Amino acid sequence: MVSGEAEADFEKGYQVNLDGTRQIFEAIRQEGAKSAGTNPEWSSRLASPSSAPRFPDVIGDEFFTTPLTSYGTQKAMDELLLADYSRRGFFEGVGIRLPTICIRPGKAEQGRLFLFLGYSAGTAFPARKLCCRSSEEVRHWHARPAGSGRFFLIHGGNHGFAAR
Amino acid sequence: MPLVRRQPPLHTKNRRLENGRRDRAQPYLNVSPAIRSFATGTRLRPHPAKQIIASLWPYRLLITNYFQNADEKTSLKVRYKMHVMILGAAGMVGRKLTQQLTRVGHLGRKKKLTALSLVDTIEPEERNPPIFPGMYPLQSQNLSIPGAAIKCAATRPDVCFSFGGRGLRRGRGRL
Repeated sequence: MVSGEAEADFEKGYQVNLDGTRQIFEAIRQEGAKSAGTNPEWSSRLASPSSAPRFPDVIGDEFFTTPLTSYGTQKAMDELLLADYSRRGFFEGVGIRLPTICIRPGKAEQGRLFLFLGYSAGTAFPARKLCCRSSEEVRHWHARPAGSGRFFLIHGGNHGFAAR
Repeated sequence: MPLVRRQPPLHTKNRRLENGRRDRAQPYLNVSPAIRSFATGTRLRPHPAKQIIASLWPYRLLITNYFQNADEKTSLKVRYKMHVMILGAAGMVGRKLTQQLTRVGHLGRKKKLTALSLVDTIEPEERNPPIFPGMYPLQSQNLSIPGAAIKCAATRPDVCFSFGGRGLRRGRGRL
């Protein structure tokens, strides 16, 4: 569930983003007890470490996450769950913090960053008038849709599950 | 008057030639075989190994394909079965990853993709034929409902990509 929708509907956001994650982790753990387990790769978002006044150039795994939204909180909890299940050896999980994927085709959805990146969306939808609410000095990390799957292919290829 | 043949120098006089004979009247015995064949107009016979390689040159594609296929059949690295499950496969990133996985055909260097399961909450609008035999069609599962995740995990995928379910909303299910 995207950030704006998770912020608007509290119960649904936690049901989808947190409960669904924990249930799939638990199912993998139970199946892994029977045979060779599954290695999940989880997509997180940049919203999880979002309240720091100044970000370092490289955000490592030890960076303390202090989210300011329900969506970021859910993603941070997902990361903690993934880390704990991996630490216990139930599976070998990798959480990938994707950048904002833009520009997505179709009608603008409830993601908050869609309007944040309105200046770039205006190039894809010239007939629609979009307003950029952020200043021009704001730095933001985003990727195009075609390259989004490549993040998972790269990290999936480097995953250490080939020895099983 | 009889024809007098020119005799070779003394230090090459008894050297055995390529044909096994000791033709003492053969000139250019003190030079390399290449120069001798050029000067006398005779054809220089290549090395037997080079002859074998040259005879196999027209069949080089057949030979390389044979050894490549044999490597795929017998190698332990390629024989490993890779079952990949994508949760949220009908979303934007999920569709891109599915396209790239099916196009590349492997995950990593030596992990050939043998099965692919696509899971999303939405019902597919149309079911396209699978791209390869191990590809399972889009399954409609809402993972936030108890019991649905167990069905997915029961297929025991090796790698599970998840794209944070889009919830109970509509989407595009053409996969």
